[in-house]
Amino acid sequence: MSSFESKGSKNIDAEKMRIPMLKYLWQAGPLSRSKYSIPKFFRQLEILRHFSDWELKILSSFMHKRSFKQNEVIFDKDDIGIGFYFIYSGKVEVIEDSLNQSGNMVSILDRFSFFGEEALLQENCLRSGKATTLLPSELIGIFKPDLFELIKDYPVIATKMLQAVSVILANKIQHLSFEVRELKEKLAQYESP
Amino acid sequence: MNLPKREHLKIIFFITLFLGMIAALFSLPRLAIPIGVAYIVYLVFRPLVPFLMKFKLNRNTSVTVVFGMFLFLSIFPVIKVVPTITQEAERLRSFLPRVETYLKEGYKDVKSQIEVKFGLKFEQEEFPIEVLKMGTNTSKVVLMSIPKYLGNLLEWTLVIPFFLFFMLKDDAQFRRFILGITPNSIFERFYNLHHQFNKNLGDYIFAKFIEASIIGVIITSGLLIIDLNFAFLFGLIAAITNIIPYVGPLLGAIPAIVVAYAEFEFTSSFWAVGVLFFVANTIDLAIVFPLLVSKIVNLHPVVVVVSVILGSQLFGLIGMIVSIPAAVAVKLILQELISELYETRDY
Repeated sequence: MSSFESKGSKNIDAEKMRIPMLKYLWQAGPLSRSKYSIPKFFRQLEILRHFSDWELKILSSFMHKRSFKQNEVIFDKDDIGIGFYFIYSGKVEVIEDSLNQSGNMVSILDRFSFFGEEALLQENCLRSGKATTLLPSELIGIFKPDLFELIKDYPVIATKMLQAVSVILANKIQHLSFEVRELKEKLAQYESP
Repeated sequence: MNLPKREHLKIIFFITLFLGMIAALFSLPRLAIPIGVAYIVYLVFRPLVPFLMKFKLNRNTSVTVVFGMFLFLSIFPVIKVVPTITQEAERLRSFLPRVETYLKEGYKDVKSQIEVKFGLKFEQEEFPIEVLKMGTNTSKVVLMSIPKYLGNLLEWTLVIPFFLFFMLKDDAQFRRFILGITPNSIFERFYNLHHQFNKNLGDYIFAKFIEASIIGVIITSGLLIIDLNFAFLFGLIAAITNIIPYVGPLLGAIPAIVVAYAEFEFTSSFWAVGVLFFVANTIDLAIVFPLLVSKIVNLHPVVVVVSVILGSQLFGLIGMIVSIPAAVAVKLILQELISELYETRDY
């Protein structure tokens, strides 16, 4: 549930400086009146880099900003999930049960991170972990009904969104397969005389 | 889940507000009916707004175009059809005494034939005549109230578009407001329920509209071919009563069959009317209903019948019509509650 892609977003300001002046002005103009608007926030996310400014503006209109207090549960393990969240501000702890019962896997996520992406793709998705805020937090969520509407009204933007979610999941699968391979190698070392 | 006190208060406030709005609608039928109809029309026309926005029209222009389309499609037929239906209802009212005489004579014939053939005598002479009178009086009351309902229809033609326009224009803002005050702990569940209910309701309305239109067209054209009087009126009655599950087709057939008996007696034309209703309802039950409606609603037949009876008991005809969408809503809420209360969690 952690953001594999958000690591790249730290270099976004440097990249912005390299784009032509006209494009920069165009990007800065139509998006928003506010310096801290949702489209501007999305512009800084690496996974949404393929979206144009207009597309981000449309995508933002399908999103919901939710405010959570400190230590508030966002969702619990085994809850039916329909939402994919981006952390706009604050800090979130995601606890997932580990398979070997030796302890839980804890991820601490902050601004520009995201979690819960499986819920957008799975039918009757049950949450695999518990998400709680560590600080007062603002989350931006897109939910299944929004995605269905997006597919109907703006299929191109919906496809880009699903592509972004697929990239996150593909990265996760790749990460897991590396871990499995490493474990297998370690197991083979232990088993060899 | 241990929730803080403030979250509990938010949930209580939200549920009270929600139930209060539903109770207010049920207690004010004069307001609830046009709002309900406007909502149904909104569900049908809503997809056109984003469709038009794809052609670079802004939201307000798209809403105005869709609204204009609705006005043309609804007011034009209402202006055309209302006088015809009113005229047919008036004619049928004057035709009823003839129906009564025919039925009385028919009863006397059958009675005398039974007496001659089997030697049985009916002691309660007046009972069937009284039943007939009651039936005739009820029909008269219903028929006399048709112009009143049509008057209401004209009132609704002004009120419904008003509600519809603002539903189309401000739906997103209203939805955002409701979702904005939804407590965090139930947000995903509520949003999911809201979406599923709207989807089921939209699909159900669409399916029922198609089903009723098919029945209406078959019955009207069949009756015109048979040359029975009041073909349009009986077609409309059959289409409207078809909205009521199971009982509706039977209710829709009775007036046409009674008038057919009065007009044709037991000739081939009378049987043709019976066969027409039988064929139309068989097509509905065997093809249209399984293909369109049952897959969408997915309720057990017993639940459907019980909800129709409950609906008619509580809110009369309107209750019978809204019973299925209400049953769908209750089913979704119960499913959610059961999964919440009985699901096993392993911490």
